[in-house]
Amino acid sequence: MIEEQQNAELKQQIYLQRVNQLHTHIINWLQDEPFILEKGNMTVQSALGDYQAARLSIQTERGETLANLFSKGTSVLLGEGLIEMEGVVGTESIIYMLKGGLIITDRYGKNRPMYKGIHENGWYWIEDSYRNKAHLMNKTLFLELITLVSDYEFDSII
Amino acid sequence: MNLTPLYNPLPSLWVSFQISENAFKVAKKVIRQTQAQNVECQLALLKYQRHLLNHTQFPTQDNIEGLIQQSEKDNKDLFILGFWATFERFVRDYLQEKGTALQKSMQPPTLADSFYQHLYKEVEYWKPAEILDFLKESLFTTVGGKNLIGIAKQILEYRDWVAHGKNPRKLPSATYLKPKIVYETLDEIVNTLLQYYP
Repeated sequence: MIEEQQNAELKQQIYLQRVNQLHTHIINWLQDEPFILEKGNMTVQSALGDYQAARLSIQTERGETLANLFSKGTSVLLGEGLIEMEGVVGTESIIYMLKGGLIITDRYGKNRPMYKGIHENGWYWIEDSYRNKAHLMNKTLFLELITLVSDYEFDSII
Repeated sequence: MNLTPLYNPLPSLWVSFQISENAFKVAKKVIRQTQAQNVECQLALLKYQRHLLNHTQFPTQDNIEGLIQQSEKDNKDLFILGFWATFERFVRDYLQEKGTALQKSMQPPTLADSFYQHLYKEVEYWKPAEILDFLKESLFTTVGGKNLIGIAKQILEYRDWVAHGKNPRKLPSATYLKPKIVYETLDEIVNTLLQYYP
């Protein structure tokens, strides 16, 4: 039981670091955009008790919120951690997955990763309309997700 | 007992889920205040928006965006329950049909008939976790097969947690499930079972 608790606490610590790393990347990716980024804290509920994690809000210069990135903790199916990206027209999940992902045996008896494209540990977005594909988070994808959750149009996507 | 040919019922439910998500998105776009430079255009837009929202709850509710967001979350949970219930019904139907092979091969026929009728009824009461266990020991024995059944067990845990009111003192092993992962896991199991059908 104590060991289980220590493992869960360690997982939480690593999760918090990974959240902060993604926030740092996002701040860099958006540095040339006319946005206001606001960092804050939020409470995450877990079986071992509540804890604090970072939250990031992305707003236009006029103060309209485009997206809030909420830290949702480590209790996510197939993942090590979850961030929910909420905007006025949609919500998308960003899941931390480990290299390779889970191997399954498919209907044809073939062993394959449950999701393709997980070539390294990182934050991934799983597309609803495409079968078995996970996308590693990068600047282009993140800008697309902002559009998806807020309808905000970027002048040009690099 | 009427046994009808089996097919995978999950893809059509997945389409329903995607359509419901799209409907939430459209509703959120409609309730957003559209801005136009021209005053006449702005008035026309407001009139059109009022027309779209006519005979709905939207114009009279406060915090409508928050309410839609909450409805979306509830919708996800209800669809996960729906995916599980549809999957479970398929598996029980599948096992009942598989049982007819026993009926055909057992002697004497009168025992076979009574035995099968009893089996047919009892399959309805088998515990889902136990069904997953014997599938793991039979058709899903590879590491990848066991992984699939492992995910299905986590989905079942979540299903039970939601169906019993989300007790905060008794959390499932995963408290967040992406519906796409739920669908693809159960769909893969159903399709594997169909490889051995009839």
